[in-house]
Amino acid sequence: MKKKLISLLMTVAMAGSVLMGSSIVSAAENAETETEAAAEETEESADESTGGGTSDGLEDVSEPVTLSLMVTTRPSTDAKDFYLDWLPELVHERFPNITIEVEQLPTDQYKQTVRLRFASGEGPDLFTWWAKKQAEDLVQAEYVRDLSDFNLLDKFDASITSAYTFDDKVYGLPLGTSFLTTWYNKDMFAEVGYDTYPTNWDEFIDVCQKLKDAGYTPITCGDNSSFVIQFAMYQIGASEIYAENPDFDNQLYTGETKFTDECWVDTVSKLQYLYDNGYVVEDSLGLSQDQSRQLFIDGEAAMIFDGSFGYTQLMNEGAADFERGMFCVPSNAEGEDFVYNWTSANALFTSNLSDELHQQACDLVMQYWFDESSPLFEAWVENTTDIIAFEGVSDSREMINEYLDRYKDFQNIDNLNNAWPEGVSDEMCSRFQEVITGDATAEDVCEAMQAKFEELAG
Amino acid sequence: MIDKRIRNVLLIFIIPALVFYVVFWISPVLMSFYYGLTNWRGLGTYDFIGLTNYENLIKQGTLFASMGNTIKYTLFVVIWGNVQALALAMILNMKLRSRGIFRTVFYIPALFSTIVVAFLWSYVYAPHYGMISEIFELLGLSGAPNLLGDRSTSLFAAAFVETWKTSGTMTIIYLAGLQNISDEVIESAKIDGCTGWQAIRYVKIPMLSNTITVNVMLGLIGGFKSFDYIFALTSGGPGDSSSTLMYTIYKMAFVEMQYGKAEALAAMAFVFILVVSIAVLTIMKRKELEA
Repeated sequence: MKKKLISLLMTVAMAGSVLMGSSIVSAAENAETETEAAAEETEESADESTGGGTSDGLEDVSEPVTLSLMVTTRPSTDAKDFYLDWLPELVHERFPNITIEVEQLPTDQYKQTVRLRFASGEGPDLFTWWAKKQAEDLVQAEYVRDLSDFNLLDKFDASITSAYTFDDKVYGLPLGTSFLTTWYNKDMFAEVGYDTYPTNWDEFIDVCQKLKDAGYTPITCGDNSSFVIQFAMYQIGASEIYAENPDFDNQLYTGETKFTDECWVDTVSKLQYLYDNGYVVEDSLGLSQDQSRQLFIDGEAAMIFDGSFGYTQLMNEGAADFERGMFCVPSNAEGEDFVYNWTSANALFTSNLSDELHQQACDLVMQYWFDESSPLFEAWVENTTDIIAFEGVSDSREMINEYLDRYKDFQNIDNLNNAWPEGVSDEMCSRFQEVITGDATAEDVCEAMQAKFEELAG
Repeated sequence: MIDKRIRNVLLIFIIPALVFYVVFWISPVLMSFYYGLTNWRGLGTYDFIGLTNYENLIKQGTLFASMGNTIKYTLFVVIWGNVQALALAMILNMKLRSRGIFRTVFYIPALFSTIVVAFLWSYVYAPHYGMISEIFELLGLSGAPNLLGDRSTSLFAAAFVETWKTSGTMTIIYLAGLQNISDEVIESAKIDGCTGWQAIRYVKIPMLSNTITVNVMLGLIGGFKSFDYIFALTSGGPGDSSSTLMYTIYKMAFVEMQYGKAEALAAMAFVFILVVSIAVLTIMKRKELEA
């Protein structure tokens, strides 16, 4: 009988391994309660220590300390990486008592790991995170420190810093900006009679048709990596939704607007139009983002929906040699307002759960990092792939500067999903894949987004 | 018989392992059932919401869609995986020249990590650049299939990669089983007038019943916990056409931050997998006895 009982227990336990992923849950919650007290103790001293001057007169921490830094995985190059190489090296050189251990993870795993570590009371001392709604839960759970007193805060572009401001308190130091854009092959455009980029929807469709008629594939999209669907959708949505109602996202939460509103249905319909008319590469659902980028740089397609963050990959040499350009998809009709996408990329956050010594060390690192005369600042400016939004610093890439200068007088809008609960954008991408296969309509996508929004925001 | 006192002493030695097991395996499983009844979002507080998560999973169709995909994936992995491995094992059991080299070559896929295999196959399947489309082009054929981008094939395309990766291991197991069948048995079957196919159907396969059970169970486990190839090759798409139970749980918990709902789905997946596994094992054991 006992043997049977033990066997039964073992069987249940073995089968239970299916659910082991959830084991973190209980451990996490216990640890969360324990660390709240520690966080409260250190909060006061942390608020005091974020002030200070330039890094010249800063003294090292009193004893050796190891800071954990978490960042998302970025494309690797032969050059030294800022986060993996320069930051730990230069900080340790300046402050011998401070050692930085860097951990990088792909975006999805990164999000879950950071959240779960905070929930278990062991969040990273320093980490990068995204703006607005995406940072809201971390702020509300008091996992991140208020950096409003950081003395170099006014050096950051205030309009970007506002994306990390909650209840008038700043929680993140913006590390840069980026924009979603459409890269295009200027040579192909010139061949079909376009010496410049389109400025309204009709011109955009016209150039697509002319490219198609000339035997070129107008647009490539790696829709197998479903998140890339956002790149086109948010460019189209910028003018379609926000030109008339910049407050659309806030109104989603009050019920005044819905994803099923006409402006959203039109946004999805316009993207669908590009697929239905054969402007997007055939079999895009089988192509990954990398494979699609390769098609563009090989001159197999005239345009690709991507972003400023794709600069390094898309400027690589491929099978064809051609001049690149960028424009934001103009979904506006001729004479109507145009809105383009320009968004905060991410920001540096510090943990509210770290002890006093770690928080002091974090302050030193931040002071040193954002001191314009420090070698660390120089390394950051030289190596970042984002567009730095810091006083007196301009981007070294001519194309990027030209792009931002071109659109500077127009209204701009963040990545649309910054205002939504996590999961709505995934629903949009999944459902739009069904539009591509012909199994759903634009209305279905909008209804699914609204249903998901209500489920997640409720 | 072991003396009762000695047995009690021995039981004491089991206690640390048992405590470890209960704390780190049993209690999290039980806790997960509890969290399935809450609206926990991963951070902060939560409320007890009864069976709402279960109700929503059924009402929204998530449960049946992901369960259906898991069943299809598992059936493909079990059936095709075993047919392929058994055929390979029979070929590799023949007295071929360079048999050792062939056995090594067919085992190679098992040595690669999942992510490497998925990356390789993403280029095999890729339209425009992929191996399949290149072969079509070489043969002067048009209309190479877009296996990952088609709702009707994406799930099976991912499952096929799983069978490719596990074929080496399953083949080795079948090979070991085949080598346990003595030549005398086959010889006497032939004397009794068995053709080659009849020897396989009525002698070899029944004598491999234990091995088949092992491989079927391996395929079943691999199919039910299908996540990595789906994650790397299709991300559950197009749409939700290749979202299996494990991938849906992952997406719900770590993308949508609906931990409570994901726990509810995990609990239902647990019961489903347990019932199916026990049923299949029972049937297979009965078949073994009949054989």
